[in-house]
Amino acid sequence: MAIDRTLVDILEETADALSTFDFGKLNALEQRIVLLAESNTKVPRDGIGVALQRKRQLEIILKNCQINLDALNRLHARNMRNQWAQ
Amino acid sequence: MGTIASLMDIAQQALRANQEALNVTGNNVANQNTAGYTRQVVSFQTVDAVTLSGSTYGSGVTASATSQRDRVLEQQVQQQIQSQAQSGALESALQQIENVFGLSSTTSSASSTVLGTAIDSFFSSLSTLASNPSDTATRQSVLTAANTLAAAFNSSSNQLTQVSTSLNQQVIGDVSQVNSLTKTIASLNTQITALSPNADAGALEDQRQQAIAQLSKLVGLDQISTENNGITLTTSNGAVLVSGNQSFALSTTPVGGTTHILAGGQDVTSNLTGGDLGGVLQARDQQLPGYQSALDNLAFAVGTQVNQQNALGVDGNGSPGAALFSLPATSSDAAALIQVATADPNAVAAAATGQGSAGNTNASALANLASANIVNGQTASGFLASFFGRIGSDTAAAITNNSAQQATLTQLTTQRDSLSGVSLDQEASNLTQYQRAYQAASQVFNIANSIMASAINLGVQTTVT
Repeated sequence: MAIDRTLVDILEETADALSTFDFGKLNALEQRIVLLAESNTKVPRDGIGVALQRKRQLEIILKNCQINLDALNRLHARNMRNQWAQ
Repeated sequence: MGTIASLMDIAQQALRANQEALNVTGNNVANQNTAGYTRQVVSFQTVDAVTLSGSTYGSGVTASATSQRDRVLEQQVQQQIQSQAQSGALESALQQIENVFGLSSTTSSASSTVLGTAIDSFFSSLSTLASNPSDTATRQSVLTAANTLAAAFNSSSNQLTQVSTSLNQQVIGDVSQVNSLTKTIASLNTQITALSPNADAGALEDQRQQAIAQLSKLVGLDQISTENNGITLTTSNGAVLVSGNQSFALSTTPVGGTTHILAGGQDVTSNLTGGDLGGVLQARDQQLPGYQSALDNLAFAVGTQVNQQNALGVDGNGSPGAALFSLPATSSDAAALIQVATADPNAVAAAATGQGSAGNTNASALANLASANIVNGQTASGFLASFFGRIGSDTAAAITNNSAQQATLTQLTTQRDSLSGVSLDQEASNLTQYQRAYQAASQVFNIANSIMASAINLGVQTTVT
């Protein structure tokens, strides 16, 4: 499989796994991309367009996640404080 | 591999699913202390893939939130609320009755109560009179003890009437709350049917369940699920309270000194069970009349027997004895109406006929009534002890029953809350799971970034932003 195709697959699967918070799958994907990075295989310049699209989409999802998680952590901390105060 | 457009679709679906999951957790955490809130969980569904010209497109994901509700368990909780509210109301009413007679867990005997002391003191004063029948002060103390006894009967009877009046007011208050809640439930039925006829209506459903739970505290209910996610509610005896978007108000009317409940013009008082109303009606219509009647019997028997014995003797003026107590013709209301008929100390007929006014035989006979079986085959003190024993055992049984009902309710509520309630621990665990997933995905992103940076820069490591 071409490296650009592999990269796109990993990014797509990462977005899917993140959507369902599938931690096991995300760990497996992390191992796959670490191996890919360690192989030192170069991504052909002409095949990088789709991969960049997928990376950009994953980036948006991650930013969205970060905002939500920050809000949830604040909410959770506030409720814990309230509970202890009672 | 799909096209760029299909990839965008997948990404959008993923974003929405992710957002929904986080929103649900946020909502759960924010509503942790909201009464009646049912925890929501996210379920993910993979969108069916489409194959065109040998290529497969679309493998996105959608998320939907569903409330963790067990309708059977909800109904069990509501029925238990009805049973507990009834036993609680009965216990409360019986404790009020115990208070009327000064009964408590520390009361050692009937003779230590106000009424018991008054009976004992009255017969004791007659014994003293038998020892000194000519003494005016001793005669006066008999009248004083008689007045104290009559006042104790009057006061106990009046207080029982006040308990009944208070229970009547409770009925009126409960009915008013029932009508307000049934109106709310009918309105929620309308909204739920319009917005979510085939699925759980989330927050609206929570509000309806909470209104039904509040209604269950007031009256026994039967609940029937109808089409389009509607609910019909009837009282335990079948009177319709809510049907679809319509509510049917209960009303009250006074009948013979008690407040009766009408549904659609029909008197449903005698058949209502469950909830606060069930307990109040049980106390008012079943327990209280029995206690009032026993008190009346005691007052009537003591008054009648004393009057009859007094009539057999000769008073301090040398005349035949007259009635010491004025009483109604029958025992009905005797405790409320008993009065001492005279203010003349000489009216007590201490002497027997032929003894002269200084005799004491009839005073002894009057005193001996204390040990005579004058009320339902028992002495006055014995009857009072049995009567108080009955109130005590009824109250103790009500307390025991209420404790058991409360324990069952707690158990069912815990069971329901473990399913439907928000646990901060659970939500914290969800948050951790999300956090870890986010970190793992970030790691994938960072490595992909490095790989692509190498490609774009022909092997020179840099960062693509």
